Amino acid sequence: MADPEIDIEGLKQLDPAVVSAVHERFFPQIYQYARYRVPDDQTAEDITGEVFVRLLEAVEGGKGPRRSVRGWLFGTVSNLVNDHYRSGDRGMQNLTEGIPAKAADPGRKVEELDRMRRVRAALDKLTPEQQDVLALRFGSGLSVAQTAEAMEKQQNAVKGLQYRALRALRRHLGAR
Amino acid sequence: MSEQERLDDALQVCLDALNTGVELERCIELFAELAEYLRPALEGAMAARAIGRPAVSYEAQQRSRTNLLAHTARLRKERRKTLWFGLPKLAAATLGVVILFFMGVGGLFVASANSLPGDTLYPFKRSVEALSLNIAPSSSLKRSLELSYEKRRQTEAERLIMLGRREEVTFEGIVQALDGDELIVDEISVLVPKDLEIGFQLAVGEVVEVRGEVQPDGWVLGEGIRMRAYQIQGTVERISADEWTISGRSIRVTPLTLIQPGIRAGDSVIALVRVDGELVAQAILRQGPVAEESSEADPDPTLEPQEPDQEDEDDGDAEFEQRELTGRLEERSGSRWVVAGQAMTITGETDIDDDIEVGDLVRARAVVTPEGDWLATDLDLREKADESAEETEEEVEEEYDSEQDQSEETGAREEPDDESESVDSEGDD
Repeated sequence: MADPEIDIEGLKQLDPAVVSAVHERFFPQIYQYARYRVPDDQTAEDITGEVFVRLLEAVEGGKGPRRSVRGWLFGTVSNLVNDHYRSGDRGMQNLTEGIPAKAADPGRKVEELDRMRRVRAALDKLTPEQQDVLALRFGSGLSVAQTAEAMEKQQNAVKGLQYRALRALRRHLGAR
Repeated sequence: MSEQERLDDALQVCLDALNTGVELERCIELFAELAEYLRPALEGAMAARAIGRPAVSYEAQQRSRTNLLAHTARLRKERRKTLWFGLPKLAAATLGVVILFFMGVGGLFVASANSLPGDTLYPFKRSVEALSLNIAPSSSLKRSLELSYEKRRQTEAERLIMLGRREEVTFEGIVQALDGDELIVDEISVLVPKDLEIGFQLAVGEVVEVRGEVQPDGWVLGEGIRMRAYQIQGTVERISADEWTISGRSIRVTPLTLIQPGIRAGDSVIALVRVDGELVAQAILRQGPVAEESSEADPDPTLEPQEPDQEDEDDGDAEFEQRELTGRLEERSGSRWVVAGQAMTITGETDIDDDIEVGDLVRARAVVTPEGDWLATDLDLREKADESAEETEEEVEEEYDSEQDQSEETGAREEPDDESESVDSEGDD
């Protein structure tokens, strides 16, 4: 599906307003995807920034998105996160997770962080596609249709992939 | 529908239900025959939700935007260099020939193309540009020409700096760095005298126009700096076809303005505006939650939330509310259509009746994203504009209601099937 509201021509012209508009529109979802998959804010911010820089360079080199800017951005952030893990730079794998800061009670917070660490460890064992679908659905909050667009798959395929990813996640958690 | 599809759909319904606070056991009860397969997936979903939706830091977003705009400026600069260094090769071979063949105005035009401020032919070059802008047949071409001329002004300033010629220049660019009295605008150093009145707070990432004098030692002495593009954050107070009011400021919108669909009065937005005598919006994007819909603001009394029915469930997400309305098509501008005051986006998947025109009575069905964007799924022609005298909108609604009853009896829509995998297949685990 094309992005009707994104002016790809303006992007090619490096029009600052269009670059800003694309950044404003997609930064939150891309950041949320990255942050869902990596354990610290700084790595997620670095990866997200790199995604947009690569978008500009791809557009400049004539290799940018032709139809779906969203799909291109999510494909790139997924690759960058996978590269990040492949390179062995696991970032700050500690308890400064930050996301579940709801619990006021320190004991409860430690429990939540421990649970989150176990979930992350289980997520790491999934295939890259399974990690992708869960990060898109539960991290970026995309609908099935948007996830299908981002992953360049049919909606039915996304539903099936999501089902298998969730079962596998449950199994890996239970196996501990 | 295959067993796997039934299971995928049941899972989707349950995920939606969990999002609305329904308990896991209650979801499983709804699909008792699939419980064995659903339970582990739903327990997995509870775990996946435990990580939570990461919060997006405003500061992180601004840092990223600033870096991105600085990178944009660098790329624009490299592009200009490529053009400039590539040009003489071409020009050497062709310029002489062209001048020989096209004497007179044509020759003058070509000869003036590389002129710089201070050259005899420079005023002619600027006149040709002004004429081109005046006769541009479309606003998109005009904007494209403006961008091209903006780049030309930067190139001219850079060439004057390279040549060490003291000349007056005016150019536009992104502020990349600020250091005391010096700022870098698209990689050109500009000294801002302490007594120069600017009238606004300079900041990295803003687009400014610099007027100044090129100095022989490679920088520009600023004589005037004005804001050309910046962001306004505020609340939409009024929307009309060519002008919006955002927190008391009137902003013109043009066919080139990128408007995030579904923005209504009361929404908080970020507008990227350009100063061209008046404020012209280049993009208007929603920020924060969607405004409460008041009954007075509702442009169409037929607007009703739809109960999600079986037919709609394959889109699959409780965060995508199904809506529909019946009313006149008021505007049709590319992918942005306005039905009864409600803007919606036409996507590649929108099913549109063939001969819908502005003024026709249509029934629009759409999914509304969590951000409030209306993505049209169906647009059905209910009545041509010229037949409107015979039939009232109430009759149309009655007819539609009866169709709805029938469609509910016919059951769910089939989706294209690209993968058929059995319930037990987990080969990729």
